[in-house]
Amino acid sequence: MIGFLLTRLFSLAAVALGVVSLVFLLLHLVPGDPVEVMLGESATPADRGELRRSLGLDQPIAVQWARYLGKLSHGQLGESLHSREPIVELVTGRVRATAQLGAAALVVSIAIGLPLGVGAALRDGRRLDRAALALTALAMSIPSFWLGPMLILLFSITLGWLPVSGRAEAGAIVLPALTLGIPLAAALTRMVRASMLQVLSEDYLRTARAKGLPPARVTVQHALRNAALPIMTVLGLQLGGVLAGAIITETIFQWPGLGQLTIESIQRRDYPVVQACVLIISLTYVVVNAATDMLCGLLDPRVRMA
Amino acid sequence: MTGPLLSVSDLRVHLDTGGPPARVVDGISFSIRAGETFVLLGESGCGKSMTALALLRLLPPAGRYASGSITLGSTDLLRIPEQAMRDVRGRRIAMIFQEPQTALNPVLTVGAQVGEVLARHRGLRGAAMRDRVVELLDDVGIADPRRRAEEFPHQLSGGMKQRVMIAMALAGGPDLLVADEPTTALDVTMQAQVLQLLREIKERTGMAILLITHDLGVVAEMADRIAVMYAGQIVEEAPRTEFLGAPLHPYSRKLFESLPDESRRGAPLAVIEGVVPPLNTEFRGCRFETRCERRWPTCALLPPKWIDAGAGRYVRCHLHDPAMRDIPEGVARAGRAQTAADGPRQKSHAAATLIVRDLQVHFPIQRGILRRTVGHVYAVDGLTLAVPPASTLALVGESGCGKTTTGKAIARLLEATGGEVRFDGIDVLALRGAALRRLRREIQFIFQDPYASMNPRMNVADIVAEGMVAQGIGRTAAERLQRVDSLLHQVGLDPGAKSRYPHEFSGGQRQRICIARALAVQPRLVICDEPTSALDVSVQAQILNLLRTLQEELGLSYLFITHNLAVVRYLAHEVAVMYLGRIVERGPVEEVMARPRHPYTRALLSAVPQVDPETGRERIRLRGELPSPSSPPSGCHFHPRCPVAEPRCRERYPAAVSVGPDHTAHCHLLAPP
Amino acid sequence: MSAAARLSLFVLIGWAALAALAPLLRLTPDAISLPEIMQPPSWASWLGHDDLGRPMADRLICALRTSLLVVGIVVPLSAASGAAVGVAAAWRGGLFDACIARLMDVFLAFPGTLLAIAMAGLLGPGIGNVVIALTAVSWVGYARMARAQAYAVKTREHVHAARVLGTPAPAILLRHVLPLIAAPLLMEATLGVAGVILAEAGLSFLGLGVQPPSASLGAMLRDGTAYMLVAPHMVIVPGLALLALMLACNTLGDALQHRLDPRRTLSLMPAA
Repeated sequence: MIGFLLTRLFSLAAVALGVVSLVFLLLHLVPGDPVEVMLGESATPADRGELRRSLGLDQPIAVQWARYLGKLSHGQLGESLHSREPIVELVTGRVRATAQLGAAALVVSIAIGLPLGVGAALRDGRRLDRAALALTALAMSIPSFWLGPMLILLFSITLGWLPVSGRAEAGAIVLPALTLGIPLAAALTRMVRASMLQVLSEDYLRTARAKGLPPARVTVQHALRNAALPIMTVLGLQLGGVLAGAIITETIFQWPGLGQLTIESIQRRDYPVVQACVLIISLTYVVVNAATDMLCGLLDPRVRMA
Repeated sequence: MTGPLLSVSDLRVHLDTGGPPARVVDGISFSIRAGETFVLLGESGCGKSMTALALLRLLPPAGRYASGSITLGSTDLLRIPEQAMRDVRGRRIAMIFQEPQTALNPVLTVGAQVGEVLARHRGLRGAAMRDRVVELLDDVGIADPRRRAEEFPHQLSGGMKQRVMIAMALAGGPDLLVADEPTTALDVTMQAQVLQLLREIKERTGMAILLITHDLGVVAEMADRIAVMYAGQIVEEAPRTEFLGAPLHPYSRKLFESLPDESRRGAPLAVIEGVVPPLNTEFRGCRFETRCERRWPTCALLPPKWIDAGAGRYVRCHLHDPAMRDIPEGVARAGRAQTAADGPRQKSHAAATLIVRDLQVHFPIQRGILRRTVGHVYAVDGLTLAVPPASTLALVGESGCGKTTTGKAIARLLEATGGEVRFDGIDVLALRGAALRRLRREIQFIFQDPYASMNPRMNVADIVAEGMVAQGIGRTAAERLQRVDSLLHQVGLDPGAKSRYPHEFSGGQRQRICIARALAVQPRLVICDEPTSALDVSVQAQILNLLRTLQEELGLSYLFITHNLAVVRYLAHEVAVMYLGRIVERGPVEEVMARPRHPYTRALLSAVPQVDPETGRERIRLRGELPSPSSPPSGCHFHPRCPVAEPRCRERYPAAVSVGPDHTAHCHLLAPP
Repeated sequence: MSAAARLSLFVLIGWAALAALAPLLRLTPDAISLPEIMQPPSWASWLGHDDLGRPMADRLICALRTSLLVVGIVVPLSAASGAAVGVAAAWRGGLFDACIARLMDVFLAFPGTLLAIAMAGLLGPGIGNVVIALTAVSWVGYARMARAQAYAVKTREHVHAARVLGTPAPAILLRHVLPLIAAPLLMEATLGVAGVILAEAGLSFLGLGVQPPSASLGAMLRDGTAYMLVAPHMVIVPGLALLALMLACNTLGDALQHRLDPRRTLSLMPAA
């Protein structure tokens, strides 16, 4: 089991290093001279030289990479070109806002997806199942940047129940959480249904029924316990949808999170901030997935006992 | 004496699959008395497993009861509410299944799964429940039951899992145990242990057993009474002795005649022509009529009645109907000759000989972050054998002994780690590139699963011609197509089949296509890896007949890999018995089968259930199971399980000892002191 | 094929036909007309006009053409390159495969379209950069699937049988491996079409995609959101079009998956 954890930690480290390197390389995608693009045409050569030096762009790429890693290992993300603030301070509040939104969206997704998925699997092929399939097909096809405005149109403008945007007012989180959560709920419903159907067709479910156990116990003790592992893995992967979806959702609802900061920084050509945001979002995703993976391993006797 | 424990009357089960329903169980009636073993015998798809599930009301979602009653004691199980049925399941009727690997819940401990039944039906909780679980595991012969109860299914071997299933079934103290092919997934030595256990439990508890099987050997070992099922109906019912002595129904007879056996060597096995009719058709006459050699016109027109043949025997056949005594004897239809005598004679090959010396195939076990090699699986570890020209060497052993690995290494599908393989004097293991491709022409391979070994996207003509294309046999496509025709003819298929796809054929036909594909490159040695183990007995007979005729016609040599000793007796000239990567005994087949010398060979032979009702045979029961090939026991690999092991057996591996003409065995006890 | 799947196919064919024939329709997507600013749909102009008085119907067709163009380049390019990388990794195995697997892990570590947004943002706007960003992100999905499938097929016995017959490796790949992984790849590509349509619209919605005055579904939605209160048709029209395309792709993908489902395939086989 220790071997299992060590292997996973090692591969986590390898992937994280790869992610950091790819994010580092992103800056080199900027066409032409990034310094020129960032400062605009009016900048003096002295300004450019200074920025070049402060970004380390005058060094060979391997040195730049090593420096980038070195700074990261001390928790430094550099500073914003726009506001000259250290990026760490800039993002702290943003991370909290995004975490809040993401958590709310996951709650929406689980509250809908888990019962609907289990119910659909137990009623395989019947009305509830077909309704669930049709609804999820629709929900997965609605782009969030259309769902968001439609929800605003209905709940904020027509009905006047909820605020249009921002984070200050009470209930402001409801619409963005729904916008982000509904497509995820649909995806989760399908995954839960599929893994439950898989488990329900297993021989050991027949064994459980042949023992004379009541249906509730068969479903919970034997079916859900086995389906829980793939469902947990899916929830980990769902976080990716949450984080990527947050970028668009936050922009629609003016939610002051990391996603909104990313887009603002792209528009301001504040590339170090873009780099930092992308890094924070993807590393969170990598770490959470590795954690769910290890947790599943610990909960699965076949892995735990190996 | 009160009435029977369980009686089933006119039970009909339909499966809705779109279109007309499949009548998988079509009006069967039988009864089981308290304390007896009642066997339902039949080939796959005859409806025997569906009958078992029907008794417990565990039909799959597509299944429904069309009519009939199932009476247990005085209750009709089909009339009680589901809740009451749950008190019957596990409490009065318990069930064990074919695949112990998948029948246990992987995330619950064995103890919890047995305990669940005790809590449900016996009201046991806490320590009392745990103690009873340990007792039950002990009863079914699980060593160290207290520790095993805390383990998960994946930590147990297949045989042990089936024991746990039995313990689970016993927990509720049922009156009837339904056992659906309980030993089919197990090796022969494990099978013997589990059958023995079932017999002991029956003695001890007086519980009745409904045993479902396709294996006549198991029938002979276990049955008090037998019912034979065919296409959803029971066609014959008889007490044990009468049935084994002389079965009445032509189908039952065929089942016996198609068993490969020593006494049938050299002669073709009886085969049952055709296939089981689809169950969603409307039957007018006898269901077996199209395949029956003793049919006569009435059989196609009138369904046969259930006829009392006296002495507790019943049969569903017009031949035994006293009202139809005037059946002319001569209507028996001659079975079609299995071989295509007019098929194209291939050029006769010079005799080939395969010699394998000290072959080793070791797989590294890699662990941890850096994929370090922490050990090896010694799958094949110093194996020596020789296949004489135009004859068959059977390589016999239980699963996991390395026999398939041996075959694949000889065919260069796996890389050997050591040793020597010589075919016709050519060093096979040293060949590379074009030379290796040329050798492919000489050595062919037939796989266990004929369906998996064909590309589902290619039609039969392309499949059979693939080797000819690769080896440049036949100049033009037309020439190759002509050869495909004659090859299909040779293996007993209609050449019209060549534009069809693999899924359109039955298992036996698929294996024929695979044989044609191998023959297309005119090999001299064919390695057959369990080619009939996925097939029903009657189909197995067809394939064995075909292989035997092809050997006579073409002078082929076979390396025949199998776990089925009956097949060995029928087909092989020489036999090599393999245990944990090495050959423990080899010699001419008559010699080894009649006078086995190695303790493992003896145990293996005695574990095979015999159809022959003769009793008093000495039985050798092996302890434990095949050890892991990654850490073989010291000295003689077999010593931990050997009933006659001595201290020296632990110390070094025994050398080959000659025990007869061409007959050698590796055992210290055979060596002169 | 179910009615829903047929309808979906019809929608997709209609989309492709409309987009391909757009140049022949004498559209005036850029015709600014002040009197018609934000005119709602009417008989004369059945989808209405936008905030600059441009005809929504003409702009919608041009936007569909943009989507088709992006899909038409990104999906074949990423599917072909991804499949090639995946099959090569599975076939070669060893160190090569290990390196490819790690590379795939790194790409898969970026959630959803984050990497595409970042790349498009840094490369700057424009349809070419959208194509580059989306291809760089999508290849890995195909590679992962092709690798897994090829691994499964590689150990099938008919591949062994072909080797025993002496069939050369390229022929085995061509006849035994590729035909068996084509169907799942096709399914992945169908779902990939939906993903690329959505991603292009999303990038344009964020202002990172196609630049004005060129039309794109995402850009139309972005403009529409701004005038949602006064001219709801500006957000509803492109939204419904996008929804219809997504629904069609997803339904078709579902139908294909249903066909490939082994449980269903088994029941279609005649009983032996």
